[in-house]
Amino acid sequence: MLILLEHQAKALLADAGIEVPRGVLLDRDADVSSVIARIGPPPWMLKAQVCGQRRLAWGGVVRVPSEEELARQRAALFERSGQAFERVLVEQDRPVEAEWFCAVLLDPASAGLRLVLSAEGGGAVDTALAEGRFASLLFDPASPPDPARIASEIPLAGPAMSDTAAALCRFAVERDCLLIEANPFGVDGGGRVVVLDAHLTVDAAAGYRQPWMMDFADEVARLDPDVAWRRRWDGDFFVLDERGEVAIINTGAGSGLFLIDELRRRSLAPLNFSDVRMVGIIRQPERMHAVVERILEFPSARTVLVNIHAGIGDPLETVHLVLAAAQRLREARRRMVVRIAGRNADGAAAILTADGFTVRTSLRQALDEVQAVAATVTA
Amino acid sequence: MTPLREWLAAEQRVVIQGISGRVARGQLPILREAGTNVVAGVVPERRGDVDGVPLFATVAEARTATGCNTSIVAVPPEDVRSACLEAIAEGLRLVVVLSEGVPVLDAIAIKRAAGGTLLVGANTPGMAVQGVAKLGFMPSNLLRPGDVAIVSRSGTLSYEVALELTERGYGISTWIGVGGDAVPFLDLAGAVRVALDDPRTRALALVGEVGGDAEERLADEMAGLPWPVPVHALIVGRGISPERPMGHAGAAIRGGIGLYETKVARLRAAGVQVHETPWDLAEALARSRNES
Repeated sequence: MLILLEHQAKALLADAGIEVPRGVLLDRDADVSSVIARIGPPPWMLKAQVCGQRRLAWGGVVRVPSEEELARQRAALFERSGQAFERVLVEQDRPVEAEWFCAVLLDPASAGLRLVLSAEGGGAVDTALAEGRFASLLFDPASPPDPARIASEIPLAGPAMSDTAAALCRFAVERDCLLIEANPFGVDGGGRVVVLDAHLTVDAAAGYRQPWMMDFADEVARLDPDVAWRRRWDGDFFVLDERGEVAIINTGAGSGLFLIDELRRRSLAPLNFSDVRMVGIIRQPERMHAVVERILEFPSARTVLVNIHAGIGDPLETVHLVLAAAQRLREARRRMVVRIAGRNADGAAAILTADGFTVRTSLRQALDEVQAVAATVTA
Repeated sequence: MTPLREWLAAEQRVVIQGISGRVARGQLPILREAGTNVVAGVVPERRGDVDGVPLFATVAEARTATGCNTSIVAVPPEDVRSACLEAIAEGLRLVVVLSEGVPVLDAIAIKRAAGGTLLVGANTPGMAVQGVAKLGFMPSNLLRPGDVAIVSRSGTLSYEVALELTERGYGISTWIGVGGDAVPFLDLAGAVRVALDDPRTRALALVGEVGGDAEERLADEMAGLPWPVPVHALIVGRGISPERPMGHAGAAIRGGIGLYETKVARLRAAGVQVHETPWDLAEALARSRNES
């Protein structure tokens, strides 16, 4: 899954013929004198291009009444944000007669996509949706609904809204979207339906057939370290608590979640979620080294739990990497608890034991040891 | 329809699509050792055999030559859709998709095309009907014969549950990993039905996690109905907010679905005992078995 930046989403929508406000991207120091020529006269909307959807909460969207204000507001935005972003989007301010909400999203239970439409968009949408003031339509991605079907099944839509909603449904399929949210969108003074704000979540697994995703992911990765990690190393390593005392090197997402639960249940603070993926490490041995160096960026993580329960992989193929990780962590005076289970676990454990490391086969015992070691470190 | 155990015992003829890949080739001897009757491999660009298993260009050719009726799919993600549709078109009864990274729209297309084919996966360690067939890569040392079924959304966590059960002397009847993808071919409720259909199953261990609504749908399906066997669940992700990729609309439509607390409450209301660790689950299951 990849959550796109707003300007990326709008570029894709515009490319598909869906009306969005004209806009221009500016970095922190770019000259603003060409903005009028590129998108028309103010007022404009100035929008920080950040990951996530909490932008309004910290004032990441500002209405700019004049050219003189643009550079000043942009500087203020970078100054006060505390957020990681590189560029701002400056857009035409396109008032609409009424703010609508439209979403196309994955409906896993029905194995389809669902169109959701509400006449109460913008800031009112959460309440409207929670109170059921919306209509929806499930469709098979193999046959996205045409405007006639939408107008028939969602009468509130009307012809213009139905056209745009149908275009968004087609777009979702053509671009492998998991979620499109157009909020708000509506009819402007010129009678055209325009999407004023858009959030897109796309299916990163489809990147091989959506080549634009790679470029977009590169930009998102510069702003989001978790995305950067996944792009570089394929596995997952999310920092949950920068002051966490126990770092986790683990294979498997479910067991990764469990380790976080269990450490917290034992009143320990986990540094991270980890699924380094055993088979991936075999193909990409430097991933283990990268995990260790990432952990060493956090001095509070004095204890490291390595948990490998082999199914598809063979621990004998990766034990030399675990050993190198253990040695590096020992040099850095981190305490390590290793647990290995599954196929050929005994052989892998023997190699580590020969180098002075204790290896557990029981996860429960390993967690008990982590608890004891962490207590010692704290004391 | 004949229960899967009986059918596999009598008629299984397994084709591995993508048999020349590293994963499939590495697992082949382990599958055979577990009793799986691998009769064919499909690799479009190759002929000959892989470790004695004859290769064919298509499932149709493999079916004509060997009568294969079950498939393990271990092809690259971009080939999963065509591989599965081919297997479905040939009328295979069971298709287990081990591949990970399948695009969601491909998964939807496959699921909608399934017809009478039982699809499991994708992104799963597979399934095993203990003593009859292993159609995946779960650790064989955990496949001791027994009467506890495991149905899991998490591969590695199901290993932990199986290990704890094994250490307490319990073995497995049917083990199904439904997979960790957004649109699993066989959902948790469907997998539970298959597991309970195994006449050897006397208890069920269920492994779930935050996100999605699989546990809630299972609970809804079972609400008010008596479970035929004791059901013990492990749900993980208590401290993690499920990602909110579905935005305002997803939150409104699902209304709290996907949260740890919602899952636990719904399962408990449906008569499931929910635990916090694999060892708690195994100990409780052992206690309930001793009491009965």
